[in-house]
Amino acid sequence: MPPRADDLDSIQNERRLIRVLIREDWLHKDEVTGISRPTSNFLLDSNFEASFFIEGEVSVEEVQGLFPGKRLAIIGATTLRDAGFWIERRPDEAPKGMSHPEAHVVVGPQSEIPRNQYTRACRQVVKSPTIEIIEAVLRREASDGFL
Amino acid sequence: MTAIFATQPAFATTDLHQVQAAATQMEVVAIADDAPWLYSALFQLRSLEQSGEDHPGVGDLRINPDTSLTVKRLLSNLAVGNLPTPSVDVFSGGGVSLRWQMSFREVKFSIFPNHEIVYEQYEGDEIFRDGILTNISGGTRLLAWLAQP
Repeated sequence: MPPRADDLDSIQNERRLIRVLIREDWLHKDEVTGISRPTSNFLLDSNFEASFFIEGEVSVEEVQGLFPGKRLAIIGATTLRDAGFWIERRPDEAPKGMSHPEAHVVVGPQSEIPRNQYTRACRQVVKSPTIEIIEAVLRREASDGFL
Repeated sequence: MTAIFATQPAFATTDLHQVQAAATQMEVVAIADDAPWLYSALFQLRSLEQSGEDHPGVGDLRINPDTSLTVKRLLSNLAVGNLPTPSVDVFSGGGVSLRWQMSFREVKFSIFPNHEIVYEQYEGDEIFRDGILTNISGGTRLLAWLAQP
């Protein structure tokens, strides 16, 4: 379901949010500029609730450890809110093993808006030039000599 | 002309060419020669169905059978043959997207588990129309636009 509230007090606009690019197809490389950007599928969720993590409350390294081999996208809270999205903490839905489950949030519209409006809002977000893509790291085992 | 006959159980087989000898009614779900891209699209969908998982902290990428059937019916009824193979993708919550690109034009359908289908029409990387698809003929018209010179 969409976020029930926007947690403006504890998730200020200056905060940045991390989302896992669980699918490579969610990243598109522009053939002309060579710049990789998320597609709108990256942000879309059938229940209007895309999962993110709050940078700083959980480290990029921890998220990379939870999702080895996956790239990450980091988006400013302002970019999401400018598209009309709310940001709500959902610690109960955090993945197992997270050090701070309250850093897990869902992002979505304020209600179940018409889905073409929702996809339009997702497109607006992913066009932002401020989105940062973090390359994947593989999980390192203790026995591999690197640690 | 190569017709693909299938019953719903047939979509559960690994071989799309296999005809199910069942008592249930058979129906022509596609004419392969008229739409060569259809095979590839259905195989992409099958791959996504088989690999879909729930990822806490990201989303549920499993495609439920109802959504799959909606996608297959849409694909099978889009009566435009001369198109490239679409990109078939999944988004969180079990939705499926179909995207065709030809030159500077693009058409995308996003199929949601509640059976709503959003269409997006792009020209030169800019969206100029979107909406909810209310009938298959609208989808066919969008793809016909894509294919016209």
